Amino acid sequence: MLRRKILYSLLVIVTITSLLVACAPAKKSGSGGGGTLIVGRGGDSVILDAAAATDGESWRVAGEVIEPLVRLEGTSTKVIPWLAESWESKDGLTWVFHLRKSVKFHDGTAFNAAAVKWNFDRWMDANNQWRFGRTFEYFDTEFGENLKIVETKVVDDNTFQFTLATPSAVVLAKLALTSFAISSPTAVQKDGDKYGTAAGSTVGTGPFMFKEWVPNDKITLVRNPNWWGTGPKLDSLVFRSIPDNSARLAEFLAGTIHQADLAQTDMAAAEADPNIVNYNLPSLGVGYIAFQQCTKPFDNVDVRWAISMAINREALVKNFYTKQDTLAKGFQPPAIMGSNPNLPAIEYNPDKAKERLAAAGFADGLKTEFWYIPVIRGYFPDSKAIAEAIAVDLAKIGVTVELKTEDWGAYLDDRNQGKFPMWMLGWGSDNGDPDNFIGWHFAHPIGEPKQEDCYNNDKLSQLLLDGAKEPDVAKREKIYQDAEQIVHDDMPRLPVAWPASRTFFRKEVQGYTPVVFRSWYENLSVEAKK
Amino acid sequence: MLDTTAKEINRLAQDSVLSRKPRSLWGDAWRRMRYSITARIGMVVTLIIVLTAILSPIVDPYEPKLDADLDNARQPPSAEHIFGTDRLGRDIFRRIVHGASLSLSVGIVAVGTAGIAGTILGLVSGYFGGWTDMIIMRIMDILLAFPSMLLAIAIVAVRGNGLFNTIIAISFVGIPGYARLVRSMVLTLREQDFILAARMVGVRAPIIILRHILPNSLSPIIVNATLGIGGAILSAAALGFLGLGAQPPAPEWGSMISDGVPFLRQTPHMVFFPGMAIMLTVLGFNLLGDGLRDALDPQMRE
Repeated sequence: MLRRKILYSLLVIVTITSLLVACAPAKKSGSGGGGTLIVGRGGDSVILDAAAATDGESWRVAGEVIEPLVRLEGTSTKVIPWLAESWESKDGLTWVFHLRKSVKFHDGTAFNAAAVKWNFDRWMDANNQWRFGRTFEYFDTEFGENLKIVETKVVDDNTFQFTLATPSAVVLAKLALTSFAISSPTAVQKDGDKYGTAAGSTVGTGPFMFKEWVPNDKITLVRNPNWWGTGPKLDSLVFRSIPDNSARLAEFLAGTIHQADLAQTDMAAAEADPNIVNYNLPSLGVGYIAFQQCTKPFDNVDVRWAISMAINREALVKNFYTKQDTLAKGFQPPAIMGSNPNLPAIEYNPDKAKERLAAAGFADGLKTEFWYIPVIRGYFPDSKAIAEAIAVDLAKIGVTVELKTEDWGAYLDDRNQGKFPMWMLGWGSDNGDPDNFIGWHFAHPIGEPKQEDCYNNDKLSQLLLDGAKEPDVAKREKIYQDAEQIVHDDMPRLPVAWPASRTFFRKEVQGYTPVVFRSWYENLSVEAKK
Repeated sequence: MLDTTAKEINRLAQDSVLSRKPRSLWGDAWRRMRYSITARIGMVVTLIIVLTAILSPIVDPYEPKLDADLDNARQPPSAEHIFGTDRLGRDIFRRIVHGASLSLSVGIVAVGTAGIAGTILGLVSGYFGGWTDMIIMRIMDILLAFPSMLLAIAIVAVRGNGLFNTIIAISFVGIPGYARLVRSMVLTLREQDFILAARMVGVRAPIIILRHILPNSLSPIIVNATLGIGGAILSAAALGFLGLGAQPPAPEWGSMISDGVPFLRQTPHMVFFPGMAIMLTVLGFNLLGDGLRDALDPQMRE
């Protein structure tokens, strides 16, 4: 939950005071030839020791300097090799990572299995002397009780291995988080408790090297000429904190910053400017309508399908969502592994809906409650109006819904306790893994449906439990696609929209591909201004 | 000559005064109301709103749960939709017209309930005095110590959203005002000679209260109630604005405003027209109430 908020808040903005500073104009020089890219954001980073960070602004900068073993591909959430060239696991319990060879940290020390083990041990052991009293909240949650690492091992100089307490395939997606990026042990030991702060340095293997951090003003990174990958093209990368939304927009329009996080209200102005390019990022979320299946009438699949076919979702998406959001064709958006492209469409057909309602024994219609969220969320941007429009659609097939809501905390509690017959809610992925998406919603211990919706399908549950453990990627994908098909047939939840987010660059920035979670600055370059 | 003329005039004057029908307080008040421009405006506005509320369901049956036309959402005012359309493409004029009965019934029922309950408490408290007075009025003081809107929100929060609970909440917070007013009327009336006379000849307390005290305190109650309707409509709109009043898709004015607020800059008509409806209605009742107060004031009697 916390991380989802933080990830989304990468694109949402905080307002405090205005801070205008002169900044270097983009110039073409140095070996990279890509110039300087300046990012304007709402707030400063907290700490660049990524494992200790809990906020998006910290990870965003840290991720350019220090790198994890694996990363997500970007346009999808497929796990790709990064500092680990390849990996293997026979049973999902023991994971072996073959590390990239002859990689050096920015301080010249070698990146090897011992360094990786040193980092893992630092995160794992609460009494490790190099923690400096920091807590590694994300390590504790991601590799906590359910997915504990019981042993780390240096197999040889370039092979690192750990053993889990229970088998899991989700571990790869978790390792892709910037929280688990590898720092230079030498640098951490040298800097002590200043490591990762403005007073110290941050040393990793990334495409950019830490140069300078002026708190609440800017963090400057410079090109790592010895990076193991191709690039980077940029000579330097500057993250400026400009808390005031309008000041940030003004600088962006003037061209003194190249990428800006914009407030929702400022997006129209940026869109209208011919020098600014708006990129729609792949969706990692879904807004859905769910049914309580312990009680009549939603225990009947015909009723759930009748409701689904009676709602004109296309009209909802067109009228109430931004034009970047799309109609949900399945529960998982395409960027998530296992999103099934072969699902039949859920058509809008009030006549068929009426037939199915009659088949279920409700020829004269039915009455129920429909709960709508009391807050604005990307997955339901105008929840009350959407609920009203849905109610009208349903009234047309004889289903009378009483629209209800309550304050957010009570809403979530009551939903968890299964008090709502029909309700709306949504989800945004935490780490891009399907276990955190379709698995989170529909996996339950065999024979014990969740209280929130009482949906009981042991076959689906078994698939999802298997999927969480299957180390083979192709097999895993197939499992989740099959799961999506079952969800489609049973219709325990009707997906409405896949909400997208956006990012804005000046048009002189070249090489950007819309991606999730990271901006891939190593691929970018800034064209010299004429 | 002079003498006879004076006598004549005196006689004529006496004749006319004597032959004139005696005016009642209410007749007098009605006459004064007609001569006051503000009172006349108040009467006309109120009448229009009352007629709208009564006639709209008969003239134009409206089913809010079937009303939506997403293709025509947020249209500015035009010949087809004179007040424009809202987020769901519903005609705002039509919804305002049908919302009149909601607002009006909240106002009248809430004020009626508060007025009756407050009057009974005030009569009892003022007439009997002593411990009864002490207990009732301290409870009223406690109620008055809460900001009335917060108290109403708390009541709705406990009882759940909806029009009925809104009415209960607004009635409840209105009670102390009437209780205080009536009590003070009773305190002055209780010591007057005609009440003393009635008590002396053995008329029982309930009869004195109902026959003698209540009718004499009626005019301030009526004035306050009329002014109170405006206030009650405002409170209902505020609760509706906060999403606590009538639930969607009911065409409640306050909730119509809150629906329009996110689009205030692009399509202000969504807020403007329901806002005007509330403003005019409240103004109408306030002018009427002011007119009534002036008209019923015994000091102003000619």
